[in-house]
Amino acid sequence: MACKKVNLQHTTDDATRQAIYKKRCKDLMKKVRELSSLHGVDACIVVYSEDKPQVPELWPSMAATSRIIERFKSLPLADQHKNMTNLENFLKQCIAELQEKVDKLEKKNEQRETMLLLHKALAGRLPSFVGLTTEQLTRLNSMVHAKLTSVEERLKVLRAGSLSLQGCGMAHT
Amino acid sequence: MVRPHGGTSMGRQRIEIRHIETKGQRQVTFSKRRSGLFKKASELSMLTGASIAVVVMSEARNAFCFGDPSVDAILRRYAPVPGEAAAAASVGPSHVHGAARDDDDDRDRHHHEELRKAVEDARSQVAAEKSRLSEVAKKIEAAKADRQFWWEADVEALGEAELPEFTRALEKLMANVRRHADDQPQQQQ
Repeated sequence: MACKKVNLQHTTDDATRQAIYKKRCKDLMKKVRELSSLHGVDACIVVYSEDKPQVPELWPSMAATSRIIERFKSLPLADQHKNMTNLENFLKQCIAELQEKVDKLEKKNEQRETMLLLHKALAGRLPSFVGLTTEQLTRLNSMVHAKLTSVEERLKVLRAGSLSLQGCGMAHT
Repeated sequence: MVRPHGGTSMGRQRIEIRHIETKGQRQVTFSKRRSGLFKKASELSMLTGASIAVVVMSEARNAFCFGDPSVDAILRRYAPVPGEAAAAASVGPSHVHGAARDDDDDRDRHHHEELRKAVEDARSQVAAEKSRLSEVAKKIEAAKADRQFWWEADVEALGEAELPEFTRALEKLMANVRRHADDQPQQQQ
């Protein structure tokens, strides 16, 4: 999602708020229209402004909106609520998705940084471990361990391969 | 996008604005657009205190909706069913009656503001990890340039002769790490 640097707090100044409302409401209607036509789906929107709470603004028309709402209401309750969200849940879901992203990236970063440490150590360019944190050491240790295991496995495979070749009496030229 | 049963000539690529053809693409963009739409609606609500409901009926007969304070509240307000009108009146979030903001609203707004901040925080964390990623990538490129055959530490690439030496180096490293850890009794393992 695009990261727009807008402070999303309730606008206290009446004139500013009304201007923002007018512009954004229009943009929102446009977006619904786009979604509807690009994907061939029925969509509608009902907005009650804080400043004019009696008259809702809608898209598409009143008739079409009512029709869509009726169709929605005719769905079983479970289906109505299945993909229903409110502001709080929507924000929480954004947070959850972003957190997942963070975790994934963090894991990738840690893996690569440990790899760099390993390389440094093997190349003899890590004179002491003094600067390293416990986490770094633990990860380094795990990685070394994992490498040793895979070397062992690899050697087994290679040695078995050459043994079986000998066993079959196949001569290498 | 190329029409599926169209000709094979490379020149004929029209962007179909009416209805997107490839099913997979359509679903992904539908999902993204919908999410963007709900995001815009949430921003309108947070910035101006508007009450909003967005209802989207998908091709597959699924309904997706967003509402602030809630889809049900808005729909009841817009098209009250006789029995529901009385119920809506008694539930009483003030904006249903168009009255001035009250404590409930303030509390909700405060809560939403906190959530929004949490979204911002999460976004900066993503950005931070991404820049860390590119930093590390640079270091890896530098290390690869100064290449010793162990860099890849790619077990698959080493041959039978080289692996035992690699093993010894690894074991030596592991012993060093252990010795260092033992020398630091205060640190947790």
